[in-house]
Amino acid sequence: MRIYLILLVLLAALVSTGVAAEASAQVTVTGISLDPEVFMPWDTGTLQLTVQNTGTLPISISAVRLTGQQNVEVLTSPHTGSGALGAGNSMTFTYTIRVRGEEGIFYPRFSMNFMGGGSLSEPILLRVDRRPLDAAISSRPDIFMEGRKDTVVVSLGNPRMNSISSVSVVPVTGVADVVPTTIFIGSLAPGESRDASFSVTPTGTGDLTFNVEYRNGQNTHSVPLTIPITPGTAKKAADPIVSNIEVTSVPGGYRITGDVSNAGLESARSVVMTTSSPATPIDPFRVYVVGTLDPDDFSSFEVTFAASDAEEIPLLIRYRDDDGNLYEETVMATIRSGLQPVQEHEGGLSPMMIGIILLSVVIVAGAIIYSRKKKR
Amino acid sequence: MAESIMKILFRPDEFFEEHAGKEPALGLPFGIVLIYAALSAILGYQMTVLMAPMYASIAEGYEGIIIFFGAAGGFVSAIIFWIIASVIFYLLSMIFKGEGSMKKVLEAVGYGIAPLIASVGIAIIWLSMIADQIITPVIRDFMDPAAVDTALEAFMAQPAMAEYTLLQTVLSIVFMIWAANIWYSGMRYARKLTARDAAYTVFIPVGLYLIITIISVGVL
Repeated sequence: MRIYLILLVLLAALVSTGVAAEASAQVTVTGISLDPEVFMPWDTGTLQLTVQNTGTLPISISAVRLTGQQNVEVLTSPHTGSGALGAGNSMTFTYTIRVRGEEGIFYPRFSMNFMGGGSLSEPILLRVDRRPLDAAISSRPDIFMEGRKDTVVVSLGNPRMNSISSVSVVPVTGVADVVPTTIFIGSLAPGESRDASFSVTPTGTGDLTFNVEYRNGQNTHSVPLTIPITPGTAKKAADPIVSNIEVTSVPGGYRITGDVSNAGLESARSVVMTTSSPATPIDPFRVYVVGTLDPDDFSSFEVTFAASDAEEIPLLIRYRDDDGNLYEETVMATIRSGLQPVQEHEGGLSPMMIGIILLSVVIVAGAIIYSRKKKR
Repeated sequence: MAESIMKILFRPDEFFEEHAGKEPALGLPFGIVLIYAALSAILGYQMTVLMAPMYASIAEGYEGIIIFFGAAGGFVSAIIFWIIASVIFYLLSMIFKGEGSMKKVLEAVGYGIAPLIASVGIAIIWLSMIADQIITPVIRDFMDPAAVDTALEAFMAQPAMAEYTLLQTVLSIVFMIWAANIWYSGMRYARKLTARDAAYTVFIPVGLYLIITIISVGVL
């Protein structure tokens, strides 16, 4: 009898062990999800696994565990493992992990133990790639000019195997007005590239930094791009040259005539000539509008002004570039020694003219009277 | 010749009375008209040179041609003036049964142009003196009548130009009266008119001409 009892217990144990082993074989990992798909060193992310009981009997789980490696650290493991998985049911396990500084391919291991024996063990493929977003200045002027608006283009490319999100470019500087103040690109798929264009108007000398910010999963990264702003004279800018200057006197002032030529490689638009203090512009040519001067083009001009006790007066040339930026240049014009404004006759005739008229009238009248008198 | 000229200017009645019976000789009158025409050509040249920058935008490179036409216009208009004045006087004198030939009228009118030479001469000298004070606006858009008018108005209204216009007008009136005095005598003997008929023949058209001149200057 005692022997029977022992044999019965052994048989029961054998049967239960066989059932557990069979059940574990029917639990499989059906889905693995990593966010981000490819980590960068020191990134934090999530690992999500889905297991499904494809058998016909429920199974009790005794333990669930994600085992990290030297380069993969499991930060939170919310699942203790106790519970049951019904037949045909699925269960999802989520872990927060962080990779360390090495890059390469790693295999943290997910394992599951069942009541009564049996287990499931699954290595998880995890890639760590340190290549950041490619960012570069693809277009910029050779030389910035203070007050002149130029375009700077930042090119962005994604060399990684996974998409990156929330890509934005933020200019940071205290020496230029940059428009727009930020450009949001959004997501960049693997191999995709985009451009971000900024209008930069320098106000001083210093650095202009474009901070390219993006997210790999929930991790924020940034790539700074810095270009120096050193205002100078643009090589292709319009360059008005004034020549053939001639100063002559007119009633009440002086007149400057001359030629203005564009010796630059870009058009000078809305070219306007005038004079400034100590000269006072007077009619009829207070301002002379030349208009557009294309490269190597020239135009004659004339301005009239009044000035007293001045040997040199500034001749102003105002013009704009294609973007509407206003420029002003000054050329000094010398008033010839001894040149005096022609006296204005305020509403009257000059004495010389009156004399000529009177003399003519007297001569003609005398001639007519004389001719008639002689006749008699 | 100098004596003849002085006689024409100061004793026209005597001069034409002496020449009344002679065949018409156009040599000296034509010489006077030629001098007058040459001076008119110089005046036309001066004015065109002053105004040339106004047309620079549409006639760049053709300034020489424009200036030539300005001078030629002055010359031709003087000759035409001589012929037209002669024709008018001839036709008017026909009303009073004038008897002389057209050639005789051309001779008389040609002599009468002598005082006008002084008028044009003074204008040339005056314009030379004020040329550097005259500012010529540039007309950029000849398709815009308002722009053309504005530029011409600005050109004529500037003090130096306005003074010149006034001087030229006054001188042309004064010396035209002197010329009319000579034409009166000339027509009287050239067409065998009475003093009254000669006065009607000459002073009516000249008077109309002067009135039109004064009105046009007033309008300007």
